[in-house]
Amino acid sequence: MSSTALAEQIRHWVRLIGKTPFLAVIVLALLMQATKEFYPFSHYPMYSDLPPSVEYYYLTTTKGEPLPQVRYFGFSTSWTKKMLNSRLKKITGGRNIDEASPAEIKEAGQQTLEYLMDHCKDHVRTALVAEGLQLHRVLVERSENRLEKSPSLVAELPGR
Amino acid sequence: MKQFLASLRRIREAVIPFGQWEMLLMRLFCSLHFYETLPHHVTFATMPFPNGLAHVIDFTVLAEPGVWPILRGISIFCLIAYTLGRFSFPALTYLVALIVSFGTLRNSQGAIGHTTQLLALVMLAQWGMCLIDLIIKPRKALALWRAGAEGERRMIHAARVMIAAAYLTTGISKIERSHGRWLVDIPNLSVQIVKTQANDYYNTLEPIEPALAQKLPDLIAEHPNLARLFFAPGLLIELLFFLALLGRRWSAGMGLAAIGLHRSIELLMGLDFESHEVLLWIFFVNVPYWIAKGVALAFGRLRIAQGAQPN
Repeated sequence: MSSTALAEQIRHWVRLIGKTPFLAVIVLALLMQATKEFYPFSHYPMYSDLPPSVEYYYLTTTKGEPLPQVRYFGFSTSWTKKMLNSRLKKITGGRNIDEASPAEIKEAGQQTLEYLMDHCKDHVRTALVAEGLQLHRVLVERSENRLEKSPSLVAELPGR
Repeated sequence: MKQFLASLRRIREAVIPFGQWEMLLMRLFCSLHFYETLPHHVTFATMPFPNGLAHVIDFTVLAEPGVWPILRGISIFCLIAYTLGRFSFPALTYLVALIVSFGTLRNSQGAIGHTTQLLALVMLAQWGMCLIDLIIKPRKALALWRAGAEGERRMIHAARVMIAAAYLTTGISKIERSHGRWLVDIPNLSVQIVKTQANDYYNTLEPIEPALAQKLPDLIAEHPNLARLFFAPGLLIELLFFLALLGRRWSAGMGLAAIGLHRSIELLMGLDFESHEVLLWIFFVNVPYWIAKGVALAFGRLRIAQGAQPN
């Protein structure tokens, strides 16, 4: 296609989009739905599915003292969960945490703790190498209009 | 019925005839927000879970010593050019490349975040409009130097369209991923609130309000219909946000509604949408215009922008 013909085609589409209300919005929204996660495009899946149970994660020393995650590691707790899930999917070939074995979850947790250790500040790392690091999971469930919590230990890097 | 159909036909997306001073301020605020969004350091030396362009480009070069500060420094010149509406195409090419590179590297760590995406899309939309102008008016090489008022309006309009599309996508995702059950499942937001409040606590170990951490989730779980009534408008705002493109009043109204939505989500769930809110203030609420209009009404003079003002 010559450059003049291309320009004419683009002109035609610009005119059409200009004449059709919200056509560009709809086309872009569908494009984002199709691309899913391809930065900067996203289908913004956060809280689009509301299951009756959900889990959160937190870090402690091996003595059980909770750690302020953003201050120590520069990553939020929600990032830890996403990093764990990515590693778990890689280990299990795409299965999520409900379908993974305890050994697979532990391995993904171990890898996540190692990544966090690699990316924390030097003085924090020195302290945590001595004290050890644990990743905990809390499952929150809603059943019969009541909320219940079930905590468990996912993985651990023992102190030296 | 005829009247209803006639009123439907009047629904038209409007390229608002923003005054040049308004667009200058919009670009200035957008530039400041862009610069503030760029981190001081990039520490991601690996891409363990490549996302988007990271499948073909190695963005870890950004983490090499001395690289990021230089790239960030160059962005200042591009942001000045973009703000002044001069050399918009090359300036935006650089800015889009920079934010997409950083955002892709950050999202390639195994945790997808959405903090900078809307800003990147806003810059990309304006760049795309510049590119279209360059292609369809190739002889106007001056477009490289200055887009002109009409070109600038189209760029701002493209940014607004992109934001509206992002909100529509969010709404569609809620319907699609929940198989149409999002409203029915709203009482399950109670477990999400417990989670996000706990996340907030373990981020900083600063105490959280017991009313938000426990009482509110219990209330939502115990009164499902009340919860549905309270949260349903949020989905409507997302699905109908494109109406903000109808004109200035719609724009400000829908912009404020979306900001209200983000504020309430932040209050209830501790989730921060700062960048989204900033972009809504800049491109939809457009406070400077309303101040100028107030002043003009008060003094009964001053013409704010050229041409008709769609409502």
